[in-house]
Amino acid sequence: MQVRIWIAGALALAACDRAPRAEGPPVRFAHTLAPAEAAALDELIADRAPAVEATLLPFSRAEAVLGATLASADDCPDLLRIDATWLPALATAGRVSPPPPALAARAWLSAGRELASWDGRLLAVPMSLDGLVLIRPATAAPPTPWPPADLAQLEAAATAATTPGRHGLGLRVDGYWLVPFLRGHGADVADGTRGTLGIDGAGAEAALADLAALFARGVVAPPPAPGAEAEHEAAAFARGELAILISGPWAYPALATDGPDGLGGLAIAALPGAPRGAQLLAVPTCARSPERAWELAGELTAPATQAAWSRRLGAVPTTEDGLAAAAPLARATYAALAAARPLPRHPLSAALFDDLSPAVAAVVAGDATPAEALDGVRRAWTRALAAGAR
Amino acid sequence: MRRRSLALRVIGVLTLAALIPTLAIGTLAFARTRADLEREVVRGHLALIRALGAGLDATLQDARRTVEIAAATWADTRVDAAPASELDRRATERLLARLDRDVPVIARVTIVDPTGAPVAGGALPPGVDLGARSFGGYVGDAAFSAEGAHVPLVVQARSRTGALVGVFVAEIDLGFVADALRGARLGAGATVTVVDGRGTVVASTDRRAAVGTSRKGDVAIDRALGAAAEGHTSRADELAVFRNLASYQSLRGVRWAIVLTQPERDAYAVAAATRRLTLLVAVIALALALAVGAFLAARLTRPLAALATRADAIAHGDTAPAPPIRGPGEVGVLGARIEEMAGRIGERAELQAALARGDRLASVGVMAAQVAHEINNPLTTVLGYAALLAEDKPADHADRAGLELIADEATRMKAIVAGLLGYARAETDGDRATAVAPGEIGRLVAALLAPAVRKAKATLTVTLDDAPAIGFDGHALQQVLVNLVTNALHAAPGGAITVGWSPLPGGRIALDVCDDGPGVPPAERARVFDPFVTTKPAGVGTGLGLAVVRHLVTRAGAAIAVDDAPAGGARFRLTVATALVVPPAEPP
Repeated sequence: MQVRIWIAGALALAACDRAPRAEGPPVRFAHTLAPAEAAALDELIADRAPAVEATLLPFSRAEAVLGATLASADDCPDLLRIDATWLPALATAGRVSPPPPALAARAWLSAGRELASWDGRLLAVPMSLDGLVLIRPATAAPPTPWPPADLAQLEAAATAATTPGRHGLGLRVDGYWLVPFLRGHGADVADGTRGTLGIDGAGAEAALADLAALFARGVVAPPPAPGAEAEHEAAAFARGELAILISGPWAYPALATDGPDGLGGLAIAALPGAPRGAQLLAVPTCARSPERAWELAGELTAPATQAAWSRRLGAVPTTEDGLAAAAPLARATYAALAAARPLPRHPLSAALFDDLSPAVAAVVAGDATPAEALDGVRRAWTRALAAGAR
Repeated sequence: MRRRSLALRVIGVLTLAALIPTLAIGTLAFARTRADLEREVVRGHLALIRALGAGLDATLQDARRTVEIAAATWADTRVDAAPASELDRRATERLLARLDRDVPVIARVTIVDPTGAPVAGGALPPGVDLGARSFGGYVGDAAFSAEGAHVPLVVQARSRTGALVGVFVAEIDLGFVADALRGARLGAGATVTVVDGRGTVVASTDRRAAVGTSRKGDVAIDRALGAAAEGHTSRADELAVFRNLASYQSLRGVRWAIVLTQPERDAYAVAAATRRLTLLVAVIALALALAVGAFLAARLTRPLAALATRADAIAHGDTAPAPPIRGPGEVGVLGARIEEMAGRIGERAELQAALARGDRLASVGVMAAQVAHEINNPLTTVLGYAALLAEDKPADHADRAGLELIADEATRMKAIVAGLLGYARAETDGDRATAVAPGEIGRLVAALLAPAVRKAKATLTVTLDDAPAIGFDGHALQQVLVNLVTNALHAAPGGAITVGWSPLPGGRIALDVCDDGPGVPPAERARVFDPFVTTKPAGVGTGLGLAVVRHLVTRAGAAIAVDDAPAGGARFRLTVATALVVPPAEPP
């Protein structure tokens, strides 16, 4: 109830901020919002004028669909909500236009401004920050040591927290979740800007072996069927079967409880070597109404709206005012992400996980050794870098 | 006017008392019923399209798993970048043949290498990519041709190490969607449509929505494709319930929607019938409440109106006893108390009148006694000397006529003095009421007044012989009759005077003294019994006769009244109770 009141207040403030605008064709907004986020968006735009024609793109296909749509300029949307890793490819292809000066001058947090920029230019506005953090129930006694200073301490804490009926750690069999382990062993994903594979050395194999060993020892919960990861981990977390969960703000609505200050009941800590990202609002160059699109982007990133969404969804604001008014959970997440590092800023970065994730799955399933799996990844990345260079 | 206003106000209050809860509860029930029933309709429709969507999804997932297993099996036999052997080609052809034979929804399977070059099954269908940045595969948008609707299912074939070896692209025949929709049990006027991510109709039970046509722009379709999960909307008198198939499926990339539409008239038919019935019952209940309220208000205010009328009558002096006004509870008590109050008011008024009359009569009596005492002796002297002087004068003496006049007037004055003494005696004598026979007294009065009757050239008829004995003092009755007959002689000289009697209910009789004179005007009837009040010419009567009559009658517990005689003239009626014991007749 409290959250609804906050959101209603924020929406009212946002509505007050808006000057009366003329009716006109709807603003076509293609987004990749999660169900809870989409519901909040629907409420925000329900009575908006001009209307907003929202189109939901599945996250997994959005980059490919948007790439094809913007390339053809057919049925072009006015506003995009994209992952920060997609911006380099769109910017390099000249598919997005910079925000107006007034919006660009907003007091964006540096973490968001960095990910919304490419080649020194702000080409989008950050809507929310995300990345991997450590999540555990706030009511449970923290494992030892806590918070972990490095990957070894995390593995020790997870091992210590593993008991019959409870796994010390929960994570997804996905290349994105391997990144902290790679960084913990001196490796990383490929960096197109420098032409390095990141997984050449023994550190990558050790990282993958380390991760697979956690599964084998039962420290990490067995992987669910592909596509059901979110529901599975939320249910296991609610049942107390996971002591620590590695996930991000996108999982909060399913994990947290509704409290007077917004979502709560979760204790957040930094994950050593975690990747940090952001969700951006960008206007394609083929947009029919770029001014109206940026106007909508300004409303969606208004501090009051960000604060309201932080309470309702746990979203981490990207503006200083929004962060100051944000829910404690969002502020804790922002603090936990302070030491996290973005993935390499390169058009190929998003595509790297097409091959890394199957390799991780093969090793965890015991179908391949880390060396065998990483060999295939190296070949695929080499081909990709070569193609990108051409 | 006030009484009617009270009744109207009571009815108004009862009407409000009936209206307010009826309207409040009715409105609440009306709104709740409408909302509840409409919510249930939406829930029912959502449940239907969830079931339909789950069936469609299950079919797609079965196909996907089959293709994934085939792709994984095929990939395990391949070595990255190694050319396919003849053995491999034959194995691949057998695999494709089995997929075509055992999985009916798969129309065709194409295999390409990681660069998109064909490996088996022909060329890559147009508009299909290799699933890059799609987490290993996806379901694309529907394609329509003369052969029907198909959708590409893209599955990356990776070896056991996770390395990409090729891509399987299976074309799924969407005929199963149409089959599922045809099997759905829909309500009256309802249609179900499945559209792909572009809003193109994949299958529909609506004949107006042809497969392959775009429904982009349809509010329900647009909202379904934009929604994260499910919802409903109403437009143009039509209810639309939708669900985005991407919200529950595990096939990343599918973004279809299923929409059920139904005219609101059909969708809310039960709700409308319930509303009509509720409205009818409410109107009937309200009418009944108003009718009962009006009846109760009339019953409640009727005694109050009667009480008000009775109070008005009492205020105007009508204190005669009347049956108490009956009414419920306090109203009945009030009616009884009002009658008690009226009785007391009447008694007090009579008492006050009697006291005033008594005072005046007492004063007259005292004065009469004093005047009679002081005047009688000198008057006797005057009369005596006048008579002596007249006797000494010869008949033709000039003073004789004056002396005789003095004697006559003195005689007349003595009569007046005697009347005053009689009044004084009547006032001061005690109650001597005994049983007396009116016939006896009547004969005596007739004899006493015979000279006066003759002198007045009148006739006097007394018919009291058969009258029963009455409770009255004999002397008083004689005085009463003498005074009444004398009054009649003065009022109707030369007329006919009758004294008779008649029985009355309750053991009473009426003694009537009637004349044929001018009678007593109604306005004078109330005061003719007061002392010194007379309607006769000056010099006729003393003005005390009727006052003495009323005094004697009242003291005897009887009543005297005057009205019109049956034959004209005046009738003085003495109403008196009969005596229980008749005194024995005196011996002759």
